[in-house]
Amino acid sequence: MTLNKTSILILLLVLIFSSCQKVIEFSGSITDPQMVVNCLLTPDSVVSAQVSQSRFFLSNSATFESIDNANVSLYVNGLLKDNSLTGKANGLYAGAYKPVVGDSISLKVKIPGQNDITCGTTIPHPVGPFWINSNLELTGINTPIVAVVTPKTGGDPVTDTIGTSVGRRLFLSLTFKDNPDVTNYYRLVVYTKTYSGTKVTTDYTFYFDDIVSGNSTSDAVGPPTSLSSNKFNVFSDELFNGKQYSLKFSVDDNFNSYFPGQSRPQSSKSLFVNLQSISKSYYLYLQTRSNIKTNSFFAEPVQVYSNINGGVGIIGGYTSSNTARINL
Amino acid sequence: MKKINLICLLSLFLSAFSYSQNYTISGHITDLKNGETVINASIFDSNLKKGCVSNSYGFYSLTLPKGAVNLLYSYVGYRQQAKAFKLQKDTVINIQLSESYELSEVTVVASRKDLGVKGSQMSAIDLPIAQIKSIPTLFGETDVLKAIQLLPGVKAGTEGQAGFYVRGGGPDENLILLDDVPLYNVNHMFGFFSVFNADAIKDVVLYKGSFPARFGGRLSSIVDISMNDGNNKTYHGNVTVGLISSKINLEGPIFNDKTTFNISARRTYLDIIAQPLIQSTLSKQPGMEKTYAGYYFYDLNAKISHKFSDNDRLYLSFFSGNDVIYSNIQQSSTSSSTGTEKTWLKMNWNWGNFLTALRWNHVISGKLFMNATAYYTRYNFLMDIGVDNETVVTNPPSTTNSNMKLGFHSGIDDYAAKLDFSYAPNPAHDIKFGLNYTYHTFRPGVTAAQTITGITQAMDTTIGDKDISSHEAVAYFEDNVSITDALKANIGLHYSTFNVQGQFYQSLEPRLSMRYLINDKLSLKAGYASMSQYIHLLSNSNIDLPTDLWVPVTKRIQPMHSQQASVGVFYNLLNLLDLSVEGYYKNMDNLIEYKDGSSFFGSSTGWEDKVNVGRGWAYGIEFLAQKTVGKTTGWIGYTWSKTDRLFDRPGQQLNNGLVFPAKYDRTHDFSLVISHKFSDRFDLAATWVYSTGNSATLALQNYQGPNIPGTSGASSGIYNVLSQPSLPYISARNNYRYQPTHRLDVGANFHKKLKHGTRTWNVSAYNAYNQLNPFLTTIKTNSVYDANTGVTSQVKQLVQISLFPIIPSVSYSYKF
Repeated sequence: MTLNKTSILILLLVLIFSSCQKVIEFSGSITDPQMVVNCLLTPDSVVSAQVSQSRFFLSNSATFESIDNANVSLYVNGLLKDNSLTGKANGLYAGAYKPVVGDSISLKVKIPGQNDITCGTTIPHPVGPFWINSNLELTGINTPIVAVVTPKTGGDPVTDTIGTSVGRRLFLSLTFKDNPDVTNYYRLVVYTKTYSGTKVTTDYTFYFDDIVSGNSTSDAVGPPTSLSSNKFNVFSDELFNGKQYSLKFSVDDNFNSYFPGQSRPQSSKSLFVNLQSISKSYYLYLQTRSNIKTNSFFAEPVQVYSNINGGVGIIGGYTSSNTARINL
Repeated sequence: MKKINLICLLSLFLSAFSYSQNYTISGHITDLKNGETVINASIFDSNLKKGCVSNSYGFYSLTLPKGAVNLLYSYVGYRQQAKAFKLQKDTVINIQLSESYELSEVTVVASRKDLGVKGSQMSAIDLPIAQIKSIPTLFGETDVLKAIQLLPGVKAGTEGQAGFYVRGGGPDENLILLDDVPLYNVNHMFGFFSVFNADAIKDVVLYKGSFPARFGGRLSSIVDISMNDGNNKTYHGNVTVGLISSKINLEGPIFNDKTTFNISARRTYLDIIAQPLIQSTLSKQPGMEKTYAGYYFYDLNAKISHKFSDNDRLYLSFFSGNDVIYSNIQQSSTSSSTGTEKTWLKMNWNWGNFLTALRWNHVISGKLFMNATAYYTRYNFLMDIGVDNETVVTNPPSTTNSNMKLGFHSGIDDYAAKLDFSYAPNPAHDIKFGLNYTYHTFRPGVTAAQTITGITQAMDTTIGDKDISSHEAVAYFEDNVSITDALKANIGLHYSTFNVQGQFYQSLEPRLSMRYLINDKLSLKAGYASMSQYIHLLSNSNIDLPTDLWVPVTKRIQPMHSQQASVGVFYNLLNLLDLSVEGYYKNMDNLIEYKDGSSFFGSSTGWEDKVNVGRGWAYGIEFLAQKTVGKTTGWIGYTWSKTDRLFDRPGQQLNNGLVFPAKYDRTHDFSLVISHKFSDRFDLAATWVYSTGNSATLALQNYQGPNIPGTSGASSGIYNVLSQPSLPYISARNNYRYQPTHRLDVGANFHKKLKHGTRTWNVSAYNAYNQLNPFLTTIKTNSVYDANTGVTSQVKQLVQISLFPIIPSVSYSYKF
């Protein structure tokens, strides 16, 4: 009897604490689709833009609708350069003009039945000469490298330890001079390429723990993740305007040593570093887009920056520096 | 202009001392039945039409000219007493008021003098504890803060939670005082219950604006809660057994009627009831040997008061309330390679408040009253996780022990001392002034980890910020002055300083509250208050968590300030019903909001980088009709309000620097609270609330962004529709509004007189008509079958999650 009473109480408590769910109709005003323009510009690449439209958040469609009947006209420094960029598949429009540093580029997009869309940006000046210093530290313990090898004496291939591998971190600093006349925005692009025969593997993982990154300590101690504060590694000259600055970052690597007589895999690895100068609009776009956290229940939703008048999306400019290569 | 103002103020002040041939009548007012002091009782000379009210300790002082006086002592729900005599010298008269058992309209004489039609104070509401106890609540747990949520100008946050938002302010902008001592975390069970045990409470007053100068430190409200002193006549008690908790209250004299005690305790027993379920669930896991786990909260209130003489009284108050989550799980596994491995996982979360205060009341003279207080208040959050491991290998025989401990500790400690004086030189002036000093220690969160294998200590690590100490000092002066018979004002100044990490902040805050009496039943009031706040609460936005952390202002994040002006009309209908209409406008500066994509997870590290600083404003109109006496009591409240935020400072922009509604901006709020006593054996209570839905930020459209060059995503091209990411399009912060919420709660009390006391059965239903109000809305992809086509497809749907369906509860209490 007592057990029954207890069971009833437990059942009651479980019922009380179980939340209730129900499917509801969307009660707000359903907004019309937004016209979307995306256009990233860099010197020596032809102007190309993508035009599409947004979809309602409850739409079951897996794809976005491209706008293929738009007229996209290009203005350079206020003058009409191309009356109609050539339409290609999937809402892509491209012209022949290649922007140069300092160009003010704007687009006018006409879509039948829609208000005109305008947007514009400037191609920033590149970063001047820079140099890189590096420092190497071992960060792990030796671990065996195991491979399937064919014994020299012949016979079937066997699994054998052919050497050891140790983790190391390459601490780098990139020193450059900031232009004092304007507010500058930058993006650090770092990647490694591993060449193995004809196969090339690119890895964009690195640690950006410089104070200008805005990455918190917890972000900086691990590789960038979907929760990192600054996924696209952008920063401004707010803390060093007009001064020479040494930007700090690091890359993880493994140093492999092979036992005598073991044949080494034919591969090599290089590190590439490139400091982009980016337009303010591109900086704000990347900064806000980086803030989007997936699967974070408590985080505030993110408004991604847009500079498209009459629509949504981004027109941004960037100019890359020379790319430095360091063989690892 | 400034000189003229100064001269006027000086003349007003000097007029306080210009009376001659005056004598002072002073004393304490107590309840005849139990000796409890009566707060804000009215003392009124019907000859001269002059009066005053008793202070928080029941003390009153009235200075009148020599001659015949006819004093009327009254308090709502009590029989009026009259004292007629010839005043020829300073006189002490202690009065014992008796409760009116015949609460017919005829016996009622007045409501609280300081808050009603005739008082100069506005934007304040007194909640009788009897009314609070009658309000039906979640699981039948009487809750002071949930009663406050039902008042106009106050909005509840998340459904079922005790957090509240006053006149557009945030939940950390409410100063909650228990016997004059601030409590930092006033919630149990993640905010679903407040820490206040109604059995220990005497009086609750909410100030929403026109704050008297003696209060400060928060922008939006002061909740002033007084604990019972204890019965000095006989021993009494009250035992209540409810659905999830039981509580006990005992009070009485110690040795003689000069010393009293009052002690209340409450504990939940969810952990005990649910233990079989928890154990049966966990024991199904392989290798599970011994398990127990659970959650409970408790609170303990105690107060001892001692009366040395009519001039000296001492009070010692104590409060301790904690929430505890615990688990102890023992698991074992056996394998041929490693032998037998036993693991004990122990976890203990413990968070809560501790408060103790020592107060000394001293009547310096009939006109001057002093209260000296020293107190300590603390909020602590502790989390300990321990894993003990024992591995026994049989061949060759060996035993290895290891253990790991992880602890997290955060909180805030305050040591404080304060001196408060009341000075009543004549009936035209009631002056209060005082000083207080608080030494805060903020513990922003420290994690300690320790790993021990065998006898070797392998790791001992501590991560986190150091404690931050700060000094807060306050001086205030206020005068509740009768300028003419019709015009009365409370004029005050509140000055505060805050010193933290080498940063010094100060604030001089003028306060004004004025009443113009049109006739005995009708008055107009206006008020102004400037407030400052030097601390912030870091929390996530959806639910109260014990890891929510108080942090002080910094060099970058400066103190919050607000200014509020309000006007109102007050009307008393037949001594039965207090009616009021108030309008207010409040602006707030240096508010903080989380940046897009930011949230708080318990550690204060880098918190300044996660927030933006901006400003906000709120305005609204509040209607209240309150009936506190008679067989039917309760109130009807309605609020129309707006509150917006603007974060447009460089580098601090939110919503593209445009105005957006605050999270708990809700245009309409309506509440009906009614209880009716049908007889001594039966009474019934009901509340109905309706409010506009909360707002939330929802991406109503999605669109494709480009792949970013220099990332792995761009390997297939910048514009590749197959790999481009989908981005949310949010037109504005808080752009979506949930469905309106409404709810009916009902409760009935069945009383029966027994041999040594009275027993009461309480039966109540929270959310009586099972309205599923939104807690949050989410998008889910569900399989939906179309009967016409016979096809099942994956469909995105908007799903509303609600917390509480109808929740019946029952409790039994015995009062002796």
